[in-house]
Amino acid sequence: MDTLRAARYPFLPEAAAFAEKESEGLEQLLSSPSYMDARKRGLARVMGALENHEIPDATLIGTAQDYNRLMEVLSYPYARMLVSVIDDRLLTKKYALAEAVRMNTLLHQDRDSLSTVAADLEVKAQNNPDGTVSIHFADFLRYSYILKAVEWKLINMDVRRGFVRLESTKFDRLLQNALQNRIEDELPLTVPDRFKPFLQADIDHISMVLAETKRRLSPTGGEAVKDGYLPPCIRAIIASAQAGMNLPHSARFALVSFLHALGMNYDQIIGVFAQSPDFDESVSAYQIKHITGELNGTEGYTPPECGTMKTNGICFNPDELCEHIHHPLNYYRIRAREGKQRNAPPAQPAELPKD
Amino acid sequence: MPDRFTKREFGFIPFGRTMQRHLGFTSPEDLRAFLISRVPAHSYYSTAYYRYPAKPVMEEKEWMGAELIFDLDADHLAGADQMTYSEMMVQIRKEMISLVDDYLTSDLGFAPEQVHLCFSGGRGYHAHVRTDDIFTLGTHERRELVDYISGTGLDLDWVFPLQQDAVFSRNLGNGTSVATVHRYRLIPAPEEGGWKHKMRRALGDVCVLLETADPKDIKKEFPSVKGSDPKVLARLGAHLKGAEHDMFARNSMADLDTHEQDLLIKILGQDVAPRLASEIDKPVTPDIKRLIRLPGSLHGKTGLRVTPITRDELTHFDPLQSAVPSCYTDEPVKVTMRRDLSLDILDQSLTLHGETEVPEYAASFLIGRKYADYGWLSERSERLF
Repeated sequence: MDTLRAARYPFLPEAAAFAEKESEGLEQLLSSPSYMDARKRGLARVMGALENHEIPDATLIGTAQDYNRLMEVLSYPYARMLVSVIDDRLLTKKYALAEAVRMNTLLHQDRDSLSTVAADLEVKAQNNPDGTVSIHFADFLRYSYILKAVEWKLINMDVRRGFVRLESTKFDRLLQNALQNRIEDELPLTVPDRFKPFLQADIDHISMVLAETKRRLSPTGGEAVKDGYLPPCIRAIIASAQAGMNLPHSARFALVSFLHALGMNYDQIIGVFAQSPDFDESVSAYQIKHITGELNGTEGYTPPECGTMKTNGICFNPDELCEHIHHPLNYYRIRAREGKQRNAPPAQPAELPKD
Repeated sequence: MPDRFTKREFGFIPFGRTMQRHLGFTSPEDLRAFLISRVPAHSYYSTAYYRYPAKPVMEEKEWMGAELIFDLDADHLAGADQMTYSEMMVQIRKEMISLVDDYLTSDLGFAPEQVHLCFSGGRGYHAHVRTDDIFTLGTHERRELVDYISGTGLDLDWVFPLQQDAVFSRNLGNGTSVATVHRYRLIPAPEEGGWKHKMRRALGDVCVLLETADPKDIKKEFPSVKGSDPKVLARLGAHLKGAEHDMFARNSMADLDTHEQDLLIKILGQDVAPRLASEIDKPVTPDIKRLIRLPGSLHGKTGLRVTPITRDELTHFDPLQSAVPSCYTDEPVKVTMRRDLSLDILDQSLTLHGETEVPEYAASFLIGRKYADYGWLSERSERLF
């Protein structure tokens, strides 16, 4: 068994086989002092993903390498359990991305593992003698379409008999997307309740940092929504709603998903509609709860970007800032930042005129 | 019959009414019984496979995958309104042959048995690709395929990259040196694939034309150089005669001057690339929950059969000979032509005008396509109410 490969790519079946052979099961991993290092490393995986967008490197060659490799392999399921119990979309995405980036970094110096990893990710590919890699066009499309640049368009690719020829670094980038997709699909795992007490301390730690990260990322910076920062489209839709006009579905959707993204809860959102003269909560309630995800326990819908708003004919009164942005949420972010700078005391004390 | 029959949704438009969909059948016999009892004008099945195809709400059907569809329709041809039905069908057949030969079974590497071709019953052809590789491709991925096939987003600087060589540098003696840089474009190597391959071949054809045709014909063939000086075009042709062989051997345009290279790139980008592209109906392919005409069924607006064909049959396929259902008789039917028309159908050459009689198989086509009205206008009694 290649224990180094298992430790580097702990998502491979050989890693699971290695763990099964050398350790004593999940219960021990969670509770036994013998696996403290695996648990620490597992927490470090998640914290690294959350705080620095990367899984910190680990020493897998040299002194005590067998022990280190086993701990590395076991840290992976531990990290996945942590992420699964917290079950937060942002955390899961960040974690999946960081694991995928780590694989990409390792593969750069470890070309021998390329075909094993690709096969495990169900990517149909083969190495060419000239150092390029040929990947089946369907797999190419699956993992490239989110990379929007023209250089990733299929039409600008060397396509031969169903396979796309790529420089190996580009191929690695696609594998990274493939692993990221896979981890996002796999999580959350079902973690038995009896395991949770063992995970609680680490979960509390991660949750606190996660809440702080979210506050920082939120368009409002965790503060109350200020009308003055709203983009003109959303303002126009609110004005129509409050004038009692019957909003088209696309406008209602844009408004609710936008306010939800700003962190407003159900009561606050329904408050916007409640000012309309023919307000009927029973009608609005279902729609709002559907869009915010409250109905089915999801994160809800992302508000539409400017292009979609334009297509739907609900991009109203665009101003000069609108020309520079692609998403209404960015309008709010920029206006909020400007507002903060205006109100903040000047960084340098104003220079006093001399005498 | 579509494969994975029980995972498909079916939909029908009865004569004179609206579509009835969300139907599922457990066996081809059930479908047959349904068709015999209802006799719909139009029959459709879903390109998608669903876990529960008969659930009335799309979200509840549980999408499992979809075959890959390409639709070529004569509506999209330039000048289609000036063509007769037969002329349109010859033109669109040419497009279909190019789609299959230049894209599906070459670049994309599908095996001929994975590509199921069909005359649509109307004015076009469908290609249904069925292979495990592509079933789970989503809308975005399929849109990329549409861009590839329709030539959208082609980057000419990728096809013919700009190369810069410093030719020599001259020292001015005051600490400054001036380098002369030779800028030229590369030509894709013969083994390169995709649009590089297509453009290399096309460049060869363009060179031949520039070398042999006179400037007036060149301008007619390549409207993008309409404004160019005829002398410049003639000089380019003469220049190419000497340089073409080396150009293709070295994969480089270095022997041409910059202006000549620009002219070639312009012709290839603006005139040639669109002709190499296929005119597929763009919204159809990315729609992964679409209903499409059921092969073997009749098209309610032409009376023609939605006919599955092989690639070989496509080469000479004529719907008016091969897609006329055998159940129609040659009993004479009275029709009134809306305009004069010549029609070759089932080995009959008909020249039609005014009030006339045609075989039943021709009548259904003429009336369905609105070339004629049923019955004789002169015999129609005044409608009092």
